[in-house]
Amino acid sequence: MLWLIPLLPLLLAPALYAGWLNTGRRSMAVSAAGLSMVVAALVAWGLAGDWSGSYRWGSVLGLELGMSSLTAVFALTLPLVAAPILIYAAAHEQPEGLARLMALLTAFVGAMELLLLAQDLLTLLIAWELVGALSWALIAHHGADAARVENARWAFLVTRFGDLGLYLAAAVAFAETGSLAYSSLSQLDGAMLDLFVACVLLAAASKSAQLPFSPWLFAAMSGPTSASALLHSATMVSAGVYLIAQLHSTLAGAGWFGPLALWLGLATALTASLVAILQPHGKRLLAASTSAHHGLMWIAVGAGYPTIAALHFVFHAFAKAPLFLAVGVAGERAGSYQLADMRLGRTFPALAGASAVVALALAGMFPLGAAWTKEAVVTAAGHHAAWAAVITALVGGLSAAYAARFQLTVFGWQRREDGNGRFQEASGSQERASVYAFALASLVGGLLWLPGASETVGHWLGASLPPFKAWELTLSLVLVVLGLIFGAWLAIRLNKSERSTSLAADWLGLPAAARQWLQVPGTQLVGGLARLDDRWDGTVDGISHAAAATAMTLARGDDHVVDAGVSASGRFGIWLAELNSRAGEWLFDELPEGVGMLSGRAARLASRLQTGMVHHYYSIVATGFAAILVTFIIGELL
Amino acid sequence: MILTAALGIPLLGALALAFWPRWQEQQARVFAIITAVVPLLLMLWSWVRFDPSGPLFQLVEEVEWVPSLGMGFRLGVDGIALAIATMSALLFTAAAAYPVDTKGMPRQYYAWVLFLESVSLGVFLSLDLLLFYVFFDLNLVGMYFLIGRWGHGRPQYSALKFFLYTLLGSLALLLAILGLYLASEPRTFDMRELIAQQPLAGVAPAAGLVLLGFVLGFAIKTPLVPFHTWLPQAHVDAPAPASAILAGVLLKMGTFGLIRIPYSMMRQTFADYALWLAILAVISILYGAVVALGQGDLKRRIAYTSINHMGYTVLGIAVAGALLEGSETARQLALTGATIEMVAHGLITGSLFLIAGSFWERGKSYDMDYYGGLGAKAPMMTGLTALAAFASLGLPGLAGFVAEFHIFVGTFGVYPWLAGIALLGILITAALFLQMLQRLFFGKLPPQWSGFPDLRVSEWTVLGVLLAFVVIIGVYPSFLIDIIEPTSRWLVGAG
Repeated sequence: MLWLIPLLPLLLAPALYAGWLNTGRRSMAVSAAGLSMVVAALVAWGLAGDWSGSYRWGSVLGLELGMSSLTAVFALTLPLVAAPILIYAAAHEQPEGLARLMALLTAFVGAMELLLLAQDLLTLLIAWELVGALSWALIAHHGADAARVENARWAFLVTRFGDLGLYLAAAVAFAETGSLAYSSLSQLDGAMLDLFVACVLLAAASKSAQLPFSPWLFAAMSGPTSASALLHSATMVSAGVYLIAQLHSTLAGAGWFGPLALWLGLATALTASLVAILQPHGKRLLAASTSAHHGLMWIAVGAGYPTIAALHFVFHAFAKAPLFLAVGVAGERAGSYQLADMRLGRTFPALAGASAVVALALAGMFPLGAAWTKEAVVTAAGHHAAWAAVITALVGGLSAAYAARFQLTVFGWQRREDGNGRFQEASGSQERASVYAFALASLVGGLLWLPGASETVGHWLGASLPPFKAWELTLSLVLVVLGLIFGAWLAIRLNKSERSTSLAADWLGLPAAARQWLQVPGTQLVGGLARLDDRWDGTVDGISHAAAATAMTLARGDDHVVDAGVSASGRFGIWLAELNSRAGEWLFDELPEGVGMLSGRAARLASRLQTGMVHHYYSIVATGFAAILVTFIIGELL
Repeated sequence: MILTAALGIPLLGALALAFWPRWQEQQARVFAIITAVVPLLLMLWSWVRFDPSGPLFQLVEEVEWVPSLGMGFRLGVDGIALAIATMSALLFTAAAAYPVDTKGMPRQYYAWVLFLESVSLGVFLSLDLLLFYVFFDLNLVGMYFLIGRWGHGRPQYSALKFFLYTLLGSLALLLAILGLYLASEPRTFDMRELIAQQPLAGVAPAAGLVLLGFVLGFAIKTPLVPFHTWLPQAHVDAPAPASAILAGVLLKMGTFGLIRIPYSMMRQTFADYALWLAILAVISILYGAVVALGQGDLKRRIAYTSINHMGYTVLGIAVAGALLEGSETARQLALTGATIEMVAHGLITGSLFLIAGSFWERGKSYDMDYYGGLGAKAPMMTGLTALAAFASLGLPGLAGFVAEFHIFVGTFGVYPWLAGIALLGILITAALFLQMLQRLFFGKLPPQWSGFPDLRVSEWTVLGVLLAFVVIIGVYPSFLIDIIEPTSRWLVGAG
């Protein structure tokens, strides 16, 4: 029964696509969002009904689905985030290829549900790669723009490089335990466990845009806004966090996993926050922030609290998705995603207000839901070491800085120089309604700050959440306020000339280095090997030409001999006639005798051959070649 | 009589076409399609009759031919042969049905296609070593004429190169067959008997030489690097359906032959040298993928990916035969995967070559940069090509993934390092297929293609059927695995 959840959107997507080709935007929005809500209901039902699912491939391999409370958190958040995004997409995106985009987004939800429900590495790998391929199709949606399609390929290749880790992890698990099920992973130990953990880390880090894979998120910005919103909030990027949270008990078996994940998360969160602060491009700012917040989730898992990572995932998703949607509306109005071109607060006052709520949530401002989960991450980091908590709180401050900078540049109140002035918010009500819904969810999330709420949530999830420490909380909130002020200052300072991306804002030059050290030598290797292959082909040809030349020489020699023979045969005939007249009598006597003698000898030879194996070879060779020859002759005659 | 009919009916059809001079293009085509479908139906019937829990070889037909030499007309199938023969019959039907320029010689063209179908099925169905060899060689003749007469570019050169190069492989094969035959006691060409006898076991230098002959012969046919250079040239100049058959069916004879003869009949010697074969396979995987990425010619690119995919197949076979006992499950997975890879590659690459033919028909060029931006102009072509390309790069849900996952997991259980290295191949194939789609269908539409026609019904129905099976194997692999698995279990010695 659990199969219904992933298969419903996956299988219905092509059918809906055919239907959507000839329907209006409104019915698209209703059917797509409706399907998402059905998926959400199925997840709830499946959790209550303790559903499971399995599917046999052969006697050895098979697929398993199952649901735990951790799975349910992700599996339920996904369709709830997807529904408003689908409504937004149906209203906002270009009419060309809209049906395809909607179908891809729907299928994406299905593939991600499959990833979440997987209970074995084969199912996981299938979903993992499907999500990657679908994201390629989403990013390459505007196919006429060659640069965007190249970006899609780049994003796909970076994440598929990580996928190799998952292939290898599956192979390690099978070789050691004879099974691919999560439940048998506990049998892993020693060097093979280390290898397994390393492979899973590679896969998870590339998917969730941790260093050094973070830049693929910028490449992914080539896709439509709604695709970015879905990719960055509840699907693709979160898959990496989900994986390490889900397999945490196995991964923690390797003592170095926790510290490494924590360090990787910290490094990514710090770097990405700086990148976001420096970014002049609205969507890229949000993309870098996605990387940073997933870094926070990595910190939580590394510190041993996968449940906190899951909770931060939920509130990050509800904050990040509407920011993308809002910047999509603003960018369309401004004609570019450059922050310096926007400041559309007058144009969209209500949207600006809703965006302010979710931006504050992203900033981690009390009393919003995302702020609570961020503080939980700080506390979790503090359980590892006090300095980790301090750095995490600092990341929170930086997060507040770029959130403020984003909000005040995109929806600032300065008069635009082109004097477009106040704009009535009549059009695009569907788009804005989606953002309002998310803002409301962020506000409701603030309930987590109520006393006793965290215990209730912890009880649902079957895990205890550590209580906040006073000094950490105070430090963290102070840093958030400082960050907001710093961000506001940055926003005011931003002027129209700031639109080029500095090296630092482009992941500290990481993509440039990758181009220089990986792409360029790679291209050279490919070209070199292709030329080498042509040369090898030339060598093979050369050998056969040499053989052919030899044969020709022999043939020419043969011609000479035959020619000479033919011309000589006239003279030979005369000579024979003369000979005959002289020795005819002798010849006619001797010839039969000689022939008889020769044939007798041949017969003896043949009978000797027959006792050996020689005639076998001949008959075999002859059969094969006679068959070829006959077909050849028929072929030539036809 | 099912199997004899499966290869006899297309042969009779070929003769009928050859000696029925009044048939026109359309009549010849319809006749050829109908005749090509019959073996497919017969193979499907064999599929139904085949009992996975029964003996190894089933549906056996045997007529003594030269009893004193142990020669006979022997046909029969195991799960592996059944799967590949059925795929081949399907691909031949597709090749016959795909529209092609017959250059005013429709009867002859379809006669050769049917002839080729007959002798190709003969290779997969024969249980007699000599019969196998005769069918193996007759394939060359059929393909020689299809390329030489209906090809483009330098067809005569390519056809001759193909013929001579692979004939060289056949000679090595012939010597090896003779070596194996001479070592058998009592002397026989009966494959079942030879598998039971395991002649040459423990006869060190001779066994190695015979194995070398087999491996050389089959490595040229497969082809493995460095014996591969005949392949791209033959593909580029061949007509599309012939290319599809060449890649989909003829290449399989190399890998199928490896399983059927040296693997099954020389277990000990094969195990001794399996690591070397596996290394050669990994080199083919990486080299084929990297060189494919460097090709600007659509058909050459697809041809090199064939070398990559056949490398996976050989890797699976080498892994399965690497040990006489131990790691049975892993080796069984590898061999099952190798077989699925053969089926999957036949369907996927067959489709890709047919699509390349459609490009040639429309633009008379295989240069990818000559096209571009066709996505909006030809959505059907874009969709089917993308499906085939993603299948080829191993996307889950499609046949290639099922095969490659089996092979990787199996290989890791025996040669972990080789599995890790071979894994890089799927990254390169992803790069090259996405780039191929990009160059053909994305970007700006060049002005000369403003009237580019999408696929016709006769084209997309054929591609649709082939790719439907790619999807079915991807999502419902058990129907195929259940047929193959008992055979691979037997072959790895797991009972």
